[in-house]
Amino acid sequence: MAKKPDYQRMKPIWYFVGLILAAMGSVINLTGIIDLIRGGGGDKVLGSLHASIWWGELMAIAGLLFIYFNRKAAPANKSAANAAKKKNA
Amino acid sequence: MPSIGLGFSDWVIIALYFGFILGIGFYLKRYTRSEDDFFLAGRRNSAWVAGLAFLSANLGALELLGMTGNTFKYGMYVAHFYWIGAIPAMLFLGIYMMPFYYSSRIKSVPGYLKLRFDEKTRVLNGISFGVMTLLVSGINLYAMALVLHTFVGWDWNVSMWASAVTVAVYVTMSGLLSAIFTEIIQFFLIWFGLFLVSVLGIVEIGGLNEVMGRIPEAFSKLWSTSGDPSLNGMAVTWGGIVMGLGFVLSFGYWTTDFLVVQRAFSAKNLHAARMTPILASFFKMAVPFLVIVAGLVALALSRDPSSGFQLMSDGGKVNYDSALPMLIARYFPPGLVGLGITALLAGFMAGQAGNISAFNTVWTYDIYKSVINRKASPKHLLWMGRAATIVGIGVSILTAYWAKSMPTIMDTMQAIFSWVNAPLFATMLLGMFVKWITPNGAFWGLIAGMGSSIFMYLGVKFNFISTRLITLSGQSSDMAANFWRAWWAWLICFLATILISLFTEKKPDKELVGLVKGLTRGTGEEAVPWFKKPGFYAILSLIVLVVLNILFW
Repeated sequence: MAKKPDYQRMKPIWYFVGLILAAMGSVINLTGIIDLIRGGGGDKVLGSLHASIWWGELMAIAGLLFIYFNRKAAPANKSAANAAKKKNA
Repeated sequence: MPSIGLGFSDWVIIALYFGFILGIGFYLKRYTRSEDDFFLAGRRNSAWVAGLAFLSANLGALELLGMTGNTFKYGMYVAHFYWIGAIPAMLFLGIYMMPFYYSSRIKSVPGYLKLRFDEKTRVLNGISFGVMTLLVSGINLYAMALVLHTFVGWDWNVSMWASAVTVAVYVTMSGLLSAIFTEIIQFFLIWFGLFLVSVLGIVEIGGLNEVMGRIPEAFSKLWSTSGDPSLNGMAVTWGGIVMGLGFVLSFGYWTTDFLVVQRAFSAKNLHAARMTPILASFFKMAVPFLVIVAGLVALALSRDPSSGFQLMSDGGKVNYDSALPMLIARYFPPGLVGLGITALLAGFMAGQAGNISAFNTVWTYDIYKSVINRKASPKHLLWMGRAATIVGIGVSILTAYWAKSMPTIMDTMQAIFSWVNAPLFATMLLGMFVKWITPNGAFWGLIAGMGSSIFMYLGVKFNFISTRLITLSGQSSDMAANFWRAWWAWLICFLATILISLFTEKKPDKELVGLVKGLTRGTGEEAVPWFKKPGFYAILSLIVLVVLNILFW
């Protein structure tokens, strides 16, 4: 029988959502800023709105919030941990 | 067809996504030791996690390229797939059917058929579901290759293999657990990656009313043109929409297709399982603001020669599925192009992972353990699940080439659903709510329903049955024919099951406890306050549905 994994240490899915949004948002935001400095974006329709700057920023902020609020184990795993503690006691 | 080049930052975004999902697969492998972990994600998920995964499992190729392309082709009527064609069925699953499914602790939908009827009905459904899933998986793979071919100029073969191998790696490592994780990541990437397309489209044209004003009336209404098929883009009547799509196809898919229902099985308790499709219904109603609006924007732009917008064509034939990629190319600067493509890829790959994780479960439990090796140990079944993942991916690559020759993605998908899901819904409905339905009635009814659907499909395809006979109308599209074929297949299965049950031996009541209404105790949620009950949220969802339909009548 395989050893049971320690589910209490598993990061919640929302934490990973935060990581990928923050990483991608930062890259998009940075690209938008570089594009603006270089005077690019004119070849796209509505390029003057520089959507990558504000959209990237929005993604990065959303990602950081997800990371902050989910940096610990998932609630479901916490209750499992509490149940295990009670059982041991 | 010219390809659209990607910048360095676009490649970084795409690489981040591939690296991330493979990393998650590796991370979750340490938490995937048992059968329950691999096939049911450990049954530890909250309603939110299961609900978003439930929705995202369906948000693959069909939803993105196919639906945007179909909106261009058929107009606003495609929104019926998201509203009347989804919400009532999702709520019915959560309120009425989930207690039977979840409480019987089954691992798959065919597993319910075994408990309620017998082994032969389970195996029949297991095999047909397996075949259907691999066909759908192939269509998904085709859509993935289309995106890579369109934007990056990759070879079709390389595109299919690259995407398929990535999915195979992470699903083989951690099964449904990694499939659910990537589905939820996909949900956020799709919203962040594609919502901006609709927003920028509306800004360019000058508002949603202006978009509607630029397209023909037949394409901009939801119900008011459904009295006569010649008045709407889909060439279908309200009867076809309500009975074919809203009742049979929708209920057949959302309440019996194991691909989506499996996500609810991963919930931590019955309350969370019931809330899974109900929560998902709210998000489902929002999806048209991504794909339908994008399709209408593409249609409006294409009618204005000064916009310079047109769909790609392949050998002189318009490629409707290129509508969304062409809008991304029109609006998105570097970085965002990468995000848009990643959102599409995420949709396809998560859809692919969903199909494969459902297939490996049904193969392992409902075919392999049920027919080939009844004494298989849990460890062996875990190994078999991983092997089935790899084989399933290989078979779906082959089916992708078949999908490529069909006119549009969505039409193909609907044809397949009407073969399998539509009659199965009749079997499930009778099985759960009528206790005197017999195992032989269910089995032969299912055979009659599935056989009639395939016969009608082939009859129309090879011109020995007139479409008029099926659709009861002189004018109809492929889509309308699918709706009506589903309805007839359901009706034939329903009537045949009842008729045969009248003359065959039924199961004793004691074997049906917990599986049939009338022989099952309550859900145990009687003491829960009204504002926490699934029924309350289902009513809220219905109210939103009615309001949306009136708004776009």
